[in-house]
Amino acid sequence: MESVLELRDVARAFPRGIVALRQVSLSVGAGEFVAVMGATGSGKSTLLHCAAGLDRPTAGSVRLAGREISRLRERPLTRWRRDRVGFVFQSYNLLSELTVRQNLALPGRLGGPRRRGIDEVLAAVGLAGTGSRPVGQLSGGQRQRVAIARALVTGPSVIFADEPTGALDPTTGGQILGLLRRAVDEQGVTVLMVTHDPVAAAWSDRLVLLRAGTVATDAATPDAPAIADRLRAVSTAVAA
Amino acid sequence: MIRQALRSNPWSFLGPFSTQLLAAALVAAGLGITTSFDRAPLNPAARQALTDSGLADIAIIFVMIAIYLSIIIVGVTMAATIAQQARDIALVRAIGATPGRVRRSVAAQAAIVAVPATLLGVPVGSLGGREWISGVVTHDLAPAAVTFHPHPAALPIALAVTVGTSLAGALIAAIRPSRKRPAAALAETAAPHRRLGRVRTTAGLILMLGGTTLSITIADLDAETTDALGLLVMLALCVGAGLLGPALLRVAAVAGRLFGDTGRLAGDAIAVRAKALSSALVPLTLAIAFTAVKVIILKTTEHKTGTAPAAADRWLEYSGTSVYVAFAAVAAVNTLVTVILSRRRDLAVTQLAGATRRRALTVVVCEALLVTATALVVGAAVAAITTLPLLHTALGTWVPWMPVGWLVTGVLATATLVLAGTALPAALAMRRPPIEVVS
Repeated sequence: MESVLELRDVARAFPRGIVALRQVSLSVGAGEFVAVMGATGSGKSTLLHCAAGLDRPTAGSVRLAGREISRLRERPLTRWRRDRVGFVFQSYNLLSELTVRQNLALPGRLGGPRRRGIDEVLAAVGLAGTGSRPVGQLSGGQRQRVAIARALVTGPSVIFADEPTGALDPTTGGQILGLLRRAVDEQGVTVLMVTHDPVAAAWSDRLVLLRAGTVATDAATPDAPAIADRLRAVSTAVAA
Repeated sequence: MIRQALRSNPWSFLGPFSTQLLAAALVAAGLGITTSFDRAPLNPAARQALTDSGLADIAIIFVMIAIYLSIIIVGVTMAATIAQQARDIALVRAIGATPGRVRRSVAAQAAIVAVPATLLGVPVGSLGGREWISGVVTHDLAPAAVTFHPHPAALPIALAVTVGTSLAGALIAAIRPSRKRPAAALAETAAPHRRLGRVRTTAGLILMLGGTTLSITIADLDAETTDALGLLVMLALCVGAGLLGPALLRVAAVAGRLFGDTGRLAGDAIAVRAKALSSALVPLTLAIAFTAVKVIILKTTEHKTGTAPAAADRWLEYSGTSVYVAFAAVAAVNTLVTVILSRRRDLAVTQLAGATRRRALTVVVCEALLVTATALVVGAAVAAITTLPLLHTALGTWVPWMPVGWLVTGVLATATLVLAGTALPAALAMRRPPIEVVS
């Protein structure tokens, strides 16, 4: 299988001796939905940031959509990200004073690819007809739909999602995960999602569990109760 | 709450602080200058000559203008600072603060900032006044016996001006957030309403129309009355333009769409921040109009009569103007910096959406140029409405005259000022990685 995202021996240390990642290797194929889980401080956000080119690893290499990005300079890196990657964050990170349509037009106006039409993407996330409303007036679930639409509008190879359902109720969260699932199944997008919610992780194909900056387990995703058990096992192993 | 406000965004108090400092300095300088003329040991003939020269009157006008400007500029910067706290105000209202308590806290903030600013400003003003007096003497505008004496009550008077003006500005800005029901206030800060209040629009239109009408009326009066009322015309027009500022900036935002994707992004950003940016528009317009009026009158007189005014007179005119312009410029830059710093998160989000640092900065520069253009157009219009009657009564002409060099310098100076207040802080703010800013 062709790999879209390839991390090899990635390490990330912060000042004052804090090591967030040590020697993580991970290969993600096209059209895979990967959930990354782990206790607080296990390095899951750092892993996502390094994989997406938002942060630089201190050692190791990251290949994203066929290009080595860990040594890329800031400008070409930003352009590469803009053209190949979409982001969905827990805190939405939309421009709340602008309208839905203005937010979706943003990547294109910044020079990014306009592979899909704004109306088409809005309809796909169930927000047809809301284009002219300011994002600040929308509910949390609607905002996260806008964020997914903005990630999809450039037609990315990979979507990185950082706790996309962290601020939402279970029903709304389920709808958001359904949208990510559909992007994988219908558009062939690759999704790497960080979450601490076993129910959210159950939507994925593959589950990577992190413990103290290393990969503890990496296997096909079981059902939610089994995920919760595995998560507990990994966390208690740290505590012990 | 006061501590929270001061701590959470200390930079937003830089605007009020520096304008209050300058206001106190202007008042102290003006008062000191009048005292110096009064106390100068002069024989009756020399005293009479000094009175005839009108220098003492100029000093009094200096103080009056300083107070007018303080009311407008200190008020505007303080109001902008409080408007930034809308969310905090909504939060403390939600956890049980009464509207009265919010107003008291806002008033206390105004006073806390005004007192140290004034304590620093008064000695600065005394130094400036001393310089001015020695300038007057070296230009032979006053006898050497005139030396600088600070006004005995400069400090309390300056305090009254700065505390009074910033209190007024802060309380006016706090009216809306303190009155709203907390739930509504929280919703509003999440999605601030963009429409202009009817009261504000009406007041703006009345001031603009009133100023224009007054300007037309005084065109037929004698030169001295026209001169005195001209200032009033200009202030009315500037404040009116400030009240209509958001609408004017929205026009600029639409114009921005003509400049491709970058212009469109800049236009969108200006349109949603039109209210905050219009606080910068008032001092910018004042500075442009003040300078333009002085330069146009002096240069048209020169052009029309063929004789340049004496160097000493010119020094007198320009020294006064440059002080006011510096005052207004500081206020404008401060407000712009405050607006940009409150957008750090938005800039980071833009970067996450795929903007390179350079691209995001280009958008900010484009915004700055749109604001500059708006300020120049409005300032020029205000200057034209103000000067035309003055020129008509004094020189019998309706055609103002301004050398190209001055015009270009003015445009460049304004653009530099606006860029210094926007692109520079934006560039500094974007040195942090965007993901750190948003998380």
